Amino acid sequence: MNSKMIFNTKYRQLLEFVVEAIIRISGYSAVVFVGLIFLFLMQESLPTFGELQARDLWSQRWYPIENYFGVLPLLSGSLIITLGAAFIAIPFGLMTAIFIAEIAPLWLREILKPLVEVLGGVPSVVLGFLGITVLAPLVREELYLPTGLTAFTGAVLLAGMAIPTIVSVAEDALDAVPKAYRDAALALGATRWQTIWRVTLPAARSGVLTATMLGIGRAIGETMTVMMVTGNAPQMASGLGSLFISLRTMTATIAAEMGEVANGSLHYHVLFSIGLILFLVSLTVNITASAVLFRARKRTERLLS
Amino acid sequence: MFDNPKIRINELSVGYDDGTQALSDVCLDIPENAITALFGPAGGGKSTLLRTLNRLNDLLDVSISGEVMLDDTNIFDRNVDVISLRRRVGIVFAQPIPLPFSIRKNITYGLELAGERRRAKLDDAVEGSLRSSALWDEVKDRLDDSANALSGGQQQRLCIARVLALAPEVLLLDEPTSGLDPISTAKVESSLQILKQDYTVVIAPSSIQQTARIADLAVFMLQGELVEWGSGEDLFSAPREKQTEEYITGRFG
Repeated sequence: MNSKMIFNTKYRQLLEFVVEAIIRISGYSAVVFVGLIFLFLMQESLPTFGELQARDLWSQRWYPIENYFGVLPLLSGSLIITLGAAFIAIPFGLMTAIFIAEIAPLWLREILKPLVEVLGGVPSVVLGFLGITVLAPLVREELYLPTGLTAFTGAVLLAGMAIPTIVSVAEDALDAVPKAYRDAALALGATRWQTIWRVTLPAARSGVLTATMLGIGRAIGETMTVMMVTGNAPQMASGLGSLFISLRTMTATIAAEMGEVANGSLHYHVLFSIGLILFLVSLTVNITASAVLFRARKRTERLLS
Repeated sequence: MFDNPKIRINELSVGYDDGTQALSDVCLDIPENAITALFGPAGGGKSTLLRTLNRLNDLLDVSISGEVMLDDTNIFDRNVDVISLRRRVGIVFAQPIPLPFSIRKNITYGLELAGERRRAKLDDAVEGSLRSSALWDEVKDRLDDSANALSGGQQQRLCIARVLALAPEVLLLDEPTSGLDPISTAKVESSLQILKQDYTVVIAPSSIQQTARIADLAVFMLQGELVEWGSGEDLFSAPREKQTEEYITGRFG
């Protein structure tokens, strides 16, 4: 009896130790993976800098067959398409979130919210397909362009992909604002819109900010859709007018060229450098988002304590 | 007893869309410049009645019948502007909810919404309303601090000040001291005694004792109906209805 109890205790301790170790390893593995990815990217991209001058990379011509490896067209392409998408997605997404959270009657809200989330789950290749067959011809005809496969087309579709993220996160944030705030503002004679704009939205601002950051993050990293609809011409984007020419993004370049490049060649290493740039950009966006959220949470804690 | 009603409630019934009847055929005259206290056990319709008086219930799905005459207008009339009604009939809630701004901004907010831009007017309103709610001395040196940094009792007096800044005619208070300590409660109660000289005060007190302390007109509500009303003294010393007597002597509720 006594020895059995001791055995049980030991067994339980061992089990506890094993389970805890597994959980611990799973937790750390995320950090390890990010670190390994970063190391791998560094290792594969560093040879670039042995063979190419920084100003060769920082130039305006991308033509790998002739050994022109200027990444500026790709960088500017990604930038303008992402900004275009953000410009459409943020106002539209926030207004949708406000409508769902604040204005729509309950029954409509219960239909809209899941629908928006379904929209977020549409595979990007399906959106790209719609872009090629529906949106691109429309853009070409309505705007009298030589081709509908433009940065603008990509930006519109990317906005479509970012909107569900923005709506979903922002709606949760708005919904979390205590109802009493609304009552208080209305009781002071605020109209519904004044209540939303000057009380509810500011009260939910950290969540709303996170929503836009996540939406933009999604747009930067998106590959398939932009590869299908932006025309993939590595031209320099130099202003708003560039929205209506064919452009190419960093992601599309890697996806399109990685399959055909000779392993270990300069071209191969440059593609990894582009990957490194992308990695750093999305890391920055994510860290900014968490920093903003963290600061907001600290402030709330201070106020509540 | 009171011959100058500010609000006349006539056969008011309010039902929520889930089928609960919150108020049934309520008839009541609310006198001007006095404290009318609605008391009774939870679920009696006190909050609903208060929220109906400035039409805050409009946002919920409610069915309302009967009329509420404020001076000579029925507040449910189609051509009544709800926004200006809410400025005339201010409300203070059980939970003090400062808006997420500074102390000053909490008070000027309603006025700014109403279109007041003159700095001097706004400053006057801040000082005046904070003095009326007995908060001025405690916050006059930190008007630009966040209102959330105030204590619970201060927040509640700020919420009262915020309503007073709009110069309402009627002040509704829904259990304004339920979350407060005895000292803060005493401060709020004594400021109400001063406020009633200028305003019509309707309050759902937090306790029977509070009702007895402050009510000029006490109204006992039970399950959406008015059981009995009378001057505070009469009702507490000699209740006419058995239910009232049982409630105030602590036999139920």
